[in-house]
Amino acid sequence: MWPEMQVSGIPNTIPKLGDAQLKPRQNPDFVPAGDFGTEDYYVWSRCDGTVSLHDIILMVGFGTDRSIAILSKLRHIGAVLMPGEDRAPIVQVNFEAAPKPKPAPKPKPAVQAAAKPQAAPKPQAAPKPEAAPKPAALASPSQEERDALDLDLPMPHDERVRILEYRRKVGNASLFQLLEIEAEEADVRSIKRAYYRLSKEFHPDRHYGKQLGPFADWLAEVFKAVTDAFNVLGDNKKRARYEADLRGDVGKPQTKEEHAHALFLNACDAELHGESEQALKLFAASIRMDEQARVLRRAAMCAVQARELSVAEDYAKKAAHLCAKDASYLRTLADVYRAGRRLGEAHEVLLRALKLDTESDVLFTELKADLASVKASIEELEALDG
Amino acid sequence: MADKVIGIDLGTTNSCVAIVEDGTPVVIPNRGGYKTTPSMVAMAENGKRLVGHIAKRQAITNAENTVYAAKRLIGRKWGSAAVRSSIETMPYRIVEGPHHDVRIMLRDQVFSIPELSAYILQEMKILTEEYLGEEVEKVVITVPAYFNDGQRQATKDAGLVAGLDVIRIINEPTAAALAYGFGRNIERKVAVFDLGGGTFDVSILEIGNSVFEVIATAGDTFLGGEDFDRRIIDWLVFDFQKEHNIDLRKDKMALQRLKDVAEKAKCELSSVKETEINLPFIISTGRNEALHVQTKLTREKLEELCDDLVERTLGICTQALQDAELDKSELEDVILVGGMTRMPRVQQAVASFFGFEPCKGVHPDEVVALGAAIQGTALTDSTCDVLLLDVTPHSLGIMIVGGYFHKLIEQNTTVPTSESHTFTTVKDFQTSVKILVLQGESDRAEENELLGEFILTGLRRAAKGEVEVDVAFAISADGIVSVTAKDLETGLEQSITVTATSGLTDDELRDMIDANQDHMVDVRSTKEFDKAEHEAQTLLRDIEKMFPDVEQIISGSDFGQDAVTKARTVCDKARTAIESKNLPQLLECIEALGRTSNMFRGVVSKTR
Repeated sequence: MWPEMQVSGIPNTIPKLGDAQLKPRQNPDFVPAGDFGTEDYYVWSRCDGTVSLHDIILMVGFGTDRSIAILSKLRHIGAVLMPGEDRAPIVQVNFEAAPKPKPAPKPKPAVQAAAKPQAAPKPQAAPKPEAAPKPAALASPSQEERDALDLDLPMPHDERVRILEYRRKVGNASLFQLLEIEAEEADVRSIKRAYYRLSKEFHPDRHYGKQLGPFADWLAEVFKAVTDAFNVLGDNKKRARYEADLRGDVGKPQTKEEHAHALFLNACDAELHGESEQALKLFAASIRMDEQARVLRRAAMCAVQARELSVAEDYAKKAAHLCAKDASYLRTLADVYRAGRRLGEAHEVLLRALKLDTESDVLFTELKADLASVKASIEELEALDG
Repeated sequence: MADKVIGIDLGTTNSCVAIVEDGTPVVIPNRGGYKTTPSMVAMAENGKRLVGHIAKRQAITNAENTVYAAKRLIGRKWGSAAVRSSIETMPYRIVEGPHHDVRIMLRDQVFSIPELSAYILQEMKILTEEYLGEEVEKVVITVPAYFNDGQRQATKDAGLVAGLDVIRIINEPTAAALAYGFGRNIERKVAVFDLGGGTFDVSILEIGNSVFEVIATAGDTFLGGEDFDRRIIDWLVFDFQKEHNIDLRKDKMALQRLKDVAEKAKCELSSVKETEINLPFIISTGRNEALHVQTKLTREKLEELCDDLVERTLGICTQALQDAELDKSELEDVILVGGMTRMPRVQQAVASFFGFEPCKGVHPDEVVALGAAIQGTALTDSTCDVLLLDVTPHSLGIMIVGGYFHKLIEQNTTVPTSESHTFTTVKDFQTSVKILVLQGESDRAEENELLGEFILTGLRRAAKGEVEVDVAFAISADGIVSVTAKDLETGLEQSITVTATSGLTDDELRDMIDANQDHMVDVRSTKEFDKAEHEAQTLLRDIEKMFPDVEQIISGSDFGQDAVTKARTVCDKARTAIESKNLPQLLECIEALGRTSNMFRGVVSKTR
């Protein structure tokens, strides 16, 4: 549901913003107002045209998802410009709230001295007094969105913009942002209230019997996103798991061991998704940090899958060496040999394994079965040769 | 203003109509001044159609041509249990229709059930129009929460026949909660206990900021006031048979009179402790001698006769609470709906189950129609702030290979919603798949309700498991189910909107399942599933191997026997989960298998 969120590390492309190596800068015309929070401001202050999106995410320390969400929000409201862009249209997010005075200018945290003058954030002019709230406008609308806004439908323009804006959030923003609440102060009751508030806005029944064009499907889509977000956050267990996931991405591993473990988990994840090459890289990184037998074994199995047999042999040998008393590691080594049709060596390793005193009957039987099948293969080959 | 929306509670025994006038929901009385109208239709001797009170008044003398409790038959298939039991007990003639559906014969004329229900709806429409002095067209009709799609569809059809535009079908308990919470600024969780004439429903709702969210709903479409009546009838018939050796149920006239007197006695016993039952000349013996029923029924005796029925309602309440993941203590009110909740024993049982007295503020016969009118207004009047978040009462999914049911949308999911899953072919060179859309909770396809079917053809000729078909389900806010199957490779698509039931019997469905092996689909297994299956198979082998030893070691001890039986069950369950590709269930089984395996190993090693 939130594809980017489960993989730790920073994606190569950031939704709505593009390549992670691009360097965003502040839009000099943008005036922070409405619900522009301190975190938004902090991230915004990093966008000085010299730091890539990738590095901004690393540097702000809010964790990948949160940072990406804030960046896309900044992008969405027109607060940042991407390289090559002139000036993007600005969306005022919250018209009900009177534009707050610009947050007290914090001392700009060490903007790199090498910042190019033209890209350095210009000090903001005092907020331009808005004469009257303009009708809400959608930041850089796509063709589809523009068409939808132009259609002749019995739905006010502002409501359409709101639906389109919310729809952009789906899949990008955190679940808390989808429910439009602060994670810290969200107890069960306020989550429920937020859900009811948004339901009243987006439930298709609120527009019953009206011609809605493409908005009919979009409303259903948006309402489902609201419901899904509520179903996770409104359930203490699911919420805890979700928050742990978020933190798992966020919290930089403290110790070498923890970092290695995180890499290992990501490797398994990549393997499960069929990306064995990526998985092998991650396994290798994890092993370099902390040589664990179980990681070695898993890496060996993954390498066999990817037909990297010499790598696999290397890992399996190391693992068997680390746990010399455990027959199951020898079995892995034998499996690697068998995958490479090195039956003689497999045979020898299995015999060694069977000599170890195994506690598990299952393993013992399986080793025997393996041995029998290896023997059979050897005999078959010999018969062919003879 | 022709676009006023009325709300109709189309009940098993009585119907009621309401409207929102100047922001206040009111029940519309009929010509006799009563707020409810009997759900009865009769055909008089001259071929004239009689509806409501008039039909009820001639019911005894014209029993064979008077239809009551037609709601029990609506949307049912010929041969289903409900139909069989109705044929036994109803004085009117129930016959098979052309589509395995049910028809009723009144004076040589055959009527479908939606048609007969339409006469009642029409009556309600007419009395509303007389009351308002203007035409009405739009209507919200209520049905028991546990009605399946076919029953809902048939109810909609009835509205159509009556010349009404059914803008929404909503659940009775939900409607009751709407009426209870309307115009009150409350934030709480409530239960609705709805024991009507034919069905029992219980729903748990949360109300806040004028949003009514159904959290869970459970029920039994075979439990209602008529079951209580039948207990009284059975008791009368049993005593009569003991005395005279005559089964009164065989005589339709007698049966109708028994039915009337049973209902009357049941109602009376809600206010008095004892009532006389008098049925003079109930039957003639053929020797010019008539027999009479004359006895006394006490409240105590009635409660004894119906005790298990009351217990059953409480079991369903427990289930609803479990589905809602709530404890009784989290509820703040219980709303009683349906005439049967007037019975003191029912009220006591509810109060002691939930731990507080049920809400007395709503009228159990009128509250549902009021709620329907409120929902109608909420949909059409933008100044009405009410929003109902409803759920789907049954799980939806498709049949997969082996006749298993694969759920895509779980019951109690808030609608509108959508869900999709990827399936694969099960045979080499299979070029078509058949999608059987089912509704229900059983793992086995044939135990669920078939909603519709379609075939997606033109798949690439490939080895089994290679072609992937994406099946997507969507339920709209008005409960309409649409299903789309898409060949991910070619983009070919086929879809249906489920509008009517096929009217198939269970047997036919089973035959269909057997006959369609060539078009089966299977759940595309995921890595997670493969991993779990591998783990489970290892454990299963492990356990199987130890079984003989374990059985020998612990034979003779009761505890041991019990453990072995349990282990067998666990293994069987795991195998079913593997076959039906049910990952959550498999993961649960793995835990249990692990425990079993450990226990077995303990037993075996200790004795070595």
